[in-house]
Amino acid sequence: MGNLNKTIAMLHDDLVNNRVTSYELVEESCKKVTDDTCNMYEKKIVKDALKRAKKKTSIDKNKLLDGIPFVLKDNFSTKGVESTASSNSLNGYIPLYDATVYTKLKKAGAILIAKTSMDELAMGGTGTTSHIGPTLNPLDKTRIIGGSSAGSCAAVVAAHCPFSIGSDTGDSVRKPASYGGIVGFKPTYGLVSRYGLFAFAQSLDTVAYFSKDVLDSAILTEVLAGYDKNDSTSYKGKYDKSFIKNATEGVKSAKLCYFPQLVDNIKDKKIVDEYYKLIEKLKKHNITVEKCEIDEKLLNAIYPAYMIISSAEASSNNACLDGLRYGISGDINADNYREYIKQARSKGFSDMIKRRFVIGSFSLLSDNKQEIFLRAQKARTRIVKYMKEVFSKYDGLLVPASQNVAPLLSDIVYSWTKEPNYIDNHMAIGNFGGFPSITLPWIEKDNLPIGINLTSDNFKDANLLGIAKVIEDTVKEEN
Amino acid sequence: MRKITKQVLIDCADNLLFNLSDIELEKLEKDFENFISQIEFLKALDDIDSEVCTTFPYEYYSNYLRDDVPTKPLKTKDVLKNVNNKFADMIKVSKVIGE
Amino acid sequence: MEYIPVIGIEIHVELKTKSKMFSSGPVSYGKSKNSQTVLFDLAYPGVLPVVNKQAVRYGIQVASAMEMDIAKVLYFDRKNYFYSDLPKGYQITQNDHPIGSNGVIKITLSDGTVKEIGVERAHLEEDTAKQLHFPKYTLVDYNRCGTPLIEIVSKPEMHTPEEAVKYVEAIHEIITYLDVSDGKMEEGSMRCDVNISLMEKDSDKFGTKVECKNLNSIANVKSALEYEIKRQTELLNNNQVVEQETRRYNDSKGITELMRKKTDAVDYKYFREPNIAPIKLSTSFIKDAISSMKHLPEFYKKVFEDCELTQYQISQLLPDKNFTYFFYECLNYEVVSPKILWNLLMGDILSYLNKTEQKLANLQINKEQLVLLSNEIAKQNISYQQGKDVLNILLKEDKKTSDIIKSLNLSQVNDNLAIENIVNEVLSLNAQAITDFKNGKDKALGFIVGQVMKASKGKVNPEKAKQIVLNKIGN
Repeated sequence: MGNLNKTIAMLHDDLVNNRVTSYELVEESCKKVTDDTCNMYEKKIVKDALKRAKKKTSIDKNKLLDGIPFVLKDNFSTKGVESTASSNSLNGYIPLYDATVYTKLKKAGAILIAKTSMDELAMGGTGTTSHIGPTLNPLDKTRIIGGSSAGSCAAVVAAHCPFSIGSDTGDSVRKPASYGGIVGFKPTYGLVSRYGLFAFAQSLDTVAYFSKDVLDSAILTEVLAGYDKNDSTSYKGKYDKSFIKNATEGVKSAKLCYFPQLVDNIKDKKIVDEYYKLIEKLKKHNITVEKCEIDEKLLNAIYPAYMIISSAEASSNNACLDGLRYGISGDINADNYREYIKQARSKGFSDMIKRRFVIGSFSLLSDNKQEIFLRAQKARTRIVKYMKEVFSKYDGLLVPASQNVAPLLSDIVYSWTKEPNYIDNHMAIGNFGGFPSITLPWIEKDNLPIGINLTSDNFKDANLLGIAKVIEDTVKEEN
Repeated sequence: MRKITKQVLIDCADNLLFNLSDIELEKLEKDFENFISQIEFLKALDDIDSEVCTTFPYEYYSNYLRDDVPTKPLKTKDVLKNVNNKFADMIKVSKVIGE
Repeated sequence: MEYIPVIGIEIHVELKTKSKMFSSGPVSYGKSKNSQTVLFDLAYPGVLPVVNKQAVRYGIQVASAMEMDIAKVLYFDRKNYFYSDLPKGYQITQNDHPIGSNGVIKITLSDGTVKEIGVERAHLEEDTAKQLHFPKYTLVDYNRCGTPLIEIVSKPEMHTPEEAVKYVEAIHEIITYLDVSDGKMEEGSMRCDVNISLMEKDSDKFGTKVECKNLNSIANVKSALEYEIKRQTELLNNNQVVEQETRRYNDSKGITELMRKKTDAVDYKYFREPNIAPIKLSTSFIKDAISSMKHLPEFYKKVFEDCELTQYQISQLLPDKNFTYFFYECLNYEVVSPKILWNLLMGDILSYLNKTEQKLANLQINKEQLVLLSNEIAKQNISYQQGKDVLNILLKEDKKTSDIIKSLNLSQVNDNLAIENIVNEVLSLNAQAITDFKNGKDKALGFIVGQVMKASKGKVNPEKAKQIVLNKIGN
């Protein structure tokens, strides 16, 4: 047992009071990262990290992240450090610049230890499709940790570092957080700059992060949120920024709701019972959770709308991976440039990626666009409109983040389902509307965790963190 | 909507500049079956075609335009750093024009 | 069967900004390969577009010059296709909401009729990389990649090559006068694609459209259209069909050649660019862009009409804004006869420039002194012939017109008595010429006046000399 089981806030306190040094933390982190047995990492930069930690002789008490080790998902651009987004197509690619998120973390004094493994190009929810193979759940290595931010989640679960950065397009941080029993927070779209985040589907992509508790999520939000002129979707307006205050004190009261289908349709009735027990307990803390009806048709539209929009955008976003300027390339003696690019792309992408691109591209063809792509965008509008209505009456939506514990690796299938299966995919709602959404540790089943998810209206991030704090405390009381 | 045939899928992949192996194509066809049945759930939404399309998650208008001030360009050697095939400071690609 | 050509034109104009459309990469020409790019221009993973303010201002100005509706909110779309010169695999453009729509261009045809050509849209987009093609491979230079473009799309409302030429000239004038582009067709900063189909007379059904590319001069636009009209007419008259295709104009052969059939056309899979949130253009921003527009040719046309230049003279000045500006700036001084000034500029100065291979913009000449020279001629203080000598000195040396006239001892003899003396002398020496004239040989008169001019060393007012000669030997 080392220091890294502690939260950022606790480690900061230890650091400023000289109970531990940054070098000791980084050393511990590096050792754990080096000894990883869950296939969490794409690139380890332990030597460099130790060098930087050595230079850190004093800790700035105003910088909560100063001297603290962390890991970054491999789809963030890091200057001089190979970044592949777990795809063969980017093998050997060394970025020439840092993502805004990484720049901010460096400035805050945090020390990068490794780039983490992920579903190839962030397209997947299992964490098993990386070009280096599946990432395993540190709590049970026969199971997945979930994805796409698999390595980043696993690293915090295994206490390799107290926090990590991922990205969330459908539920890529919030679902693994549920399977790992940690906090996963996706702030409002536009709050944190996407500059330097490799695009999957930019109308949905959000920088998101893993931490041990709600307060740490607030600390990270304080560091990372802010307008960035390099990101033309970055938000310039005003919003409540009392993240840390709220996450420390908790809200005095809140009125939440749930959609009955997302609770009652869970197969394991023990989990359903646990949910109703939780909302009963929350009443004591002045948090009411009411049933709110939703048309099942809307829920059924989530998955197809998500898959169509994200695959279509992805097919376009990844067109830059042609092997000309970076990444793996074709054979220059190919018959013509099309063949040359084809060679690179054919070996660069796994079949799952190719299938998504074809589906996305098919949806955009002029003959199909009205009926597929635009209709998916319209379904998205309809869902967001309804959620806006919900949020005009309630402070948030509280539902289980997954209907079960992390699946077994051997149970994973890689194809589209016939049915929309909203119970496993509902968290994409948060991306449709760019809503802030957080997954918190909740219950355990067979010694494996299941999280609870809270989603609020845009820019109510601070309030959401305040509510999450109360839920976190309530859940802890329970156990 | 375009009728889905093997050829349509091959053409789609061809336009995206990658090949599909026979196995990949088989999996893709299966995916497409499910995909088509999923599309029905969009159609099922009442009067969905009257809705507007969403690209941006929430209504937001920016007013930022970048001042027309050039920044220092990348050094040519940096531009070429990640390039596998290059010649005379340029990026080399297989024949584009001419037989 | 008689056919009416239906012509539409798409023009791409490179905007003269300092940085690129969506990145801060520098826009500059003639620099070494791949030395003018930033990460976005190379489509590195994770980079994002940021819209150039000046390009938007130029877009508004071009739209305003064509009397278009100007978008109040900017949206961008992606045009998806693969090509070796397109690093992102898509081009960011404005498909659904162009910055300008529904405009009009007025053209004046050679017979004097004025026609309005509708302009469907003008939208902002980005240029591609430059390629060097070799038999076995191609080399890519990304310097040009991302340079702002505005694409101007006409309605299919032109029916003759002349109308098309006038339309392209009008667009060229607009963009060069607004100073939003160099507008050099031969260098590619203005590129023209024309669509042409033939419609049966008295029908309202459009024929099959053929697109012609690679028209790098206005003359080529004309010859390509003439060739296509001939080609398509022959096809139709022989009961053959015109195929929907893209053709390339072959400059050296003067013909169009097949590039690709429309059946191979790419589906561009357009969709809204998710990386640029809608940008609201404030009324004050749009107003400011419009109010800071440089004068359009129309403005100068009125000024020149007011000083009584002929339509022909005006039409010679307007196509090159440098001549317009030059003449306009001369009008800052008191010009006695704009026509004489025009003759000096468009006759003598222009031929001097051609001879010495100089550009007007680089010419060092004091405009005030030029106007004073023009005025000396107008006031008949010196003859036009003498004026030319003065001009030759003004073109080379920074001197005052009055000093040159003094030093050359120039002055025009207008005194009737003095002229008569010279005339008498000349007549006495040219009896044969007098006889010739009386026998009806009009040329003899010119000969005699010429002799008078020669005898006076060019100082005599030629008009007066002619009159006096006529008085003496006429009937």
